[in-house]
Amino acid sequence: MSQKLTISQIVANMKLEVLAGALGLNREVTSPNLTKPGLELAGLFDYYEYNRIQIIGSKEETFFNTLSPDIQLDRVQKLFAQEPPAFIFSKNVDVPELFLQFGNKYKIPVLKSTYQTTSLFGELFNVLQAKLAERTTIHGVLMDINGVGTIITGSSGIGKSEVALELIRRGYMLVADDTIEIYQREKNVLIGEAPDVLKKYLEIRGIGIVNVVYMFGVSAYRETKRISLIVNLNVWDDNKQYDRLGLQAEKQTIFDTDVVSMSLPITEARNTATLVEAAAFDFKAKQMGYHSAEDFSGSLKRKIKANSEKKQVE
Amino acid sequence: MIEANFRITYPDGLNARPATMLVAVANSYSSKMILEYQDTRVTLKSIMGVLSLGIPANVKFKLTFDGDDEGEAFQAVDKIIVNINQLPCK
Repeated sequence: MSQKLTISQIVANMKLEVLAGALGLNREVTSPNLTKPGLELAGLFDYYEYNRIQIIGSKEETFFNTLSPDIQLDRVQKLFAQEPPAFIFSKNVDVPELFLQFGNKYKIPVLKSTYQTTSLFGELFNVLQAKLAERTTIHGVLMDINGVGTIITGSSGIGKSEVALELIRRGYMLVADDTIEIYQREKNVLIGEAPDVLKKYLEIRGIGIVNVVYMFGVSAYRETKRISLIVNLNVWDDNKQYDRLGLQAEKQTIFDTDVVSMSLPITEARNTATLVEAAAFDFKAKQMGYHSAEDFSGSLKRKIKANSEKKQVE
Repeated sequence: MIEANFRITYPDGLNARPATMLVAVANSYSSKMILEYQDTRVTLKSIMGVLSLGIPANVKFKLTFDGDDEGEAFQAVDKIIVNINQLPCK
């Protein structure tokens, strides 16, 4: 978790209302975890997770209102004294006046969400996880080919962007060209997107930078995509052996997720976009339970068996 | 031109794995190589062609080598068939 996120970014992202503590909007969050300080409001501060954003729902508020004013003051004082990043109240909560006073005093934002507690937890956790997760970048193109998030890699000048252009023309979506930022949302779920400046742009040698949304419409672009397949383009090498049947699956590991990868040799006679498209379709078929190469291998075995029985009869 | 008879003793016959090995070797030589089994002739350089024959274990098939490097090709194919026959069975 090397990334940092400020409260104001969260406010913008989650469309939160700032009720107090606006001077603390530049405070940083480092943990994607959230907590509800229910036990703390009841007086148990031994396990107070003060490095996390504190969420207060109607349950906590109702309990808080049953406390006597001097106990309320004491508990709120203790909650703020450890300086958590922010307090967020969910939809149907009337924010107690004490929180607003202390928010301004300690410069800790007190925020209000339009979500109810459960969905607030879910949404906020996803936002924090996405922004705080460790990121890595890969040089290549990320496309959504009929639902299969496909990375096309290969050395510079091999024609990755040209393949992307052709795939966009066939109705598939571009996610990122040239540089793909990748983070792991959870184990086995890798998400790729373009860096902010490069979003929606494609660089084609000889033409320059083109905005795919402007050229092809909104259906040609998508913001983020889960990564399922890596296709590595390389120049055909006569001395290299290529997988002829597709029975062995290769893997490439990013963070601790394995992604199916394949090496695709290209020549002038091979239409690269069609090959990448075929690779993505074959991957999808395998996900749906049909493996062409294994099916073929099975019928071959039956044929060999039949031939060997015929031989014995002779 | 060289003509020779071979036999696969690997119990599964000439299935995907040994056929891939054989075709890979064939493709590293320029000579024309023909595989003949039960009156069907296919080029040894095509994986689908070789597999279409469905050659089982312990049957005889004929290979012909024709070209500038036919001698080397013959020796290499002979060697790979020995290797195939020693493959561990799945």
